Amino acid sequence: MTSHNTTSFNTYTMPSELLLDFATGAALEPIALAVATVVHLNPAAASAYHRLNQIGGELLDSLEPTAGSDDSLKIILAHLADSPPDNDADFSCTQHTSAVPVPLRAYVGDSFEALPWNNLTSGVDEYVIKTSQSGYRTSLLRIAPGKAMPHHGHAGEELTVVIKGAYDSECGHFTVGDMEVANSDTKHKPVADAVNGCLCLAVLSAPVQLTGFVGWFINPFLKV
Amino acid sequence: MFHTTHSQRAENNGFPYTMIDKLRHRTFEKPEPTRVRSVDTDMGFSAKKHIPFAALSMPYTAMHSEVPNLTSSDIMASHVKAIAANADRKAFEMLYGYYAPRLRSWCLKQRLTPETAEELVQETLISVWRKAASFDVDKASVSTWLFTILRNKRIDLLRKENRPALKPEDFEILQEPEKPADLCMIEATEAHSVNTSLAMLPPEQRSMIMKAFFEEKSHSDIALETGLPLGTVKSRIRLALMRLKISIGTQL
Repeated sequence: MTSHNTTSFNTYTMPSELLLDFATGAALEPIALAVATVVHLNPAAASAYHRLNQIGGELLDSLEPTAGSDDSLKIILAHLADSPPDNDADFSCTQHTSAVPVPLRAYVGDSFEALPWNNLTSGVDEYVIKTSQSGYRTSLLRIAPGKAMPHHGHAGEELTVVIKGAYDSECGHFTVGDMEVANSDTKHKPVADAVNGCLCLAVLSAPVQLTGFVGWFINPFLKV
Repeated sequence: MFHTTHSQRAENNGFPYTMIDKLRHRTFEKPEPTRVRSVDTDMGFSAKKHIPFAALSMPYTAMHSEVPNLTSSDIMASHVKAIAANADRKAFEMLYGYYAPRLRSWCLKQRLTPETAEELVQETLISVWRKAASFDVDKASVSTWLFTILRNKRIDLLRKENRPALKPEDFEILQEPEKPADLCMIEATEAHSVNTSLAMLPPEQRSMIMKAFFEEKSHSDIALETGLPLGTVKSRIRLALMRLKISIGTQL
């Protein structure tokens, strides 16, 4: 479903089914990375995610118990002997400050600036993130202030998560923590924020089809 | 974190001092509604039992009568705290007694072999022991916490089977962000009636949620399996979450 809704409500968090897939553990790696980034950046998404986890907990409570073997507890207790409880209780204290959202750090490290960006065209840089899921192209895009992305359509689905700055497209104004979902019906031409530009995570499930000005942009995205 | 001496523990039937104070405070501030488990669905999910947690944690029942209004979920939290503070094996056995059989049921619903199910149950509970200190009763119930550990262990297991290389810990929010007041209110009123809410969903919406959680199916897997159009599955999930007041934006 595309977002033609540009009315009063100015929030584009993410479709419910993607958050549900993430909460149940069913989301594939690139999608999970995109959703996790939104959850990390967007309080409303974090709250919704927390509620879904609560549902998981309540469902766990509601299950009829299945008895296990008598050895089960003994095996676990034997393991406990080797492993005292961790004492680094508060992860938030050990968490260092970095502009990179936690879910992305395992993939790109602690600094966006230090990445070997690949310049696609004037004002548009890309860094491809390696995941183990084939059929997806996952990358960071850094777009200079006021720069327009080429007008493009999609053969598959494209998830775009704004990490820094903002952009505008025909579908609305997307800012930090927003996810835009574009599919084959969507043809859009995003323009990065005039002051801050835009840094975003893009997950493509199939090559982008250029419908506007062609050339420089097509090759990298065809290598999905 | 709290540290209790042996004499303090003795005075409180083994129940850590500060924990009681905290729980008293909590129960005074927001009395929690009685759990009613009456969900019965077409997904083979049936939970009509009215067994409170407390009945399953015998050694603390004496304490329970001294400190009225402690909920079963608070008692589970006290077990986790006891593990964190004192590496308390008795407390661990209490948690095991309640959760292991339910974690096992969950794994079997996901059609794992009994061996794999057992491995997951064990790994999940060993994590509870190791990570007890990171549990924060103000952020989540023990059951919610256990659900997330089980899910992450399951993802780890899939990774071993050459599925996507996720690092589940990286995907957890380390600190829950500030919430708008209206969301807090929704959570406070809804948090303990999830089952009731699920029961109120129309069957076709409820079955989507059940499949998603218990069978760990993505919405597109559900569409493939049921033969329903993808758009139908999506809209049922969106309607279900709207009814559950899980609102995450307006991209419709």
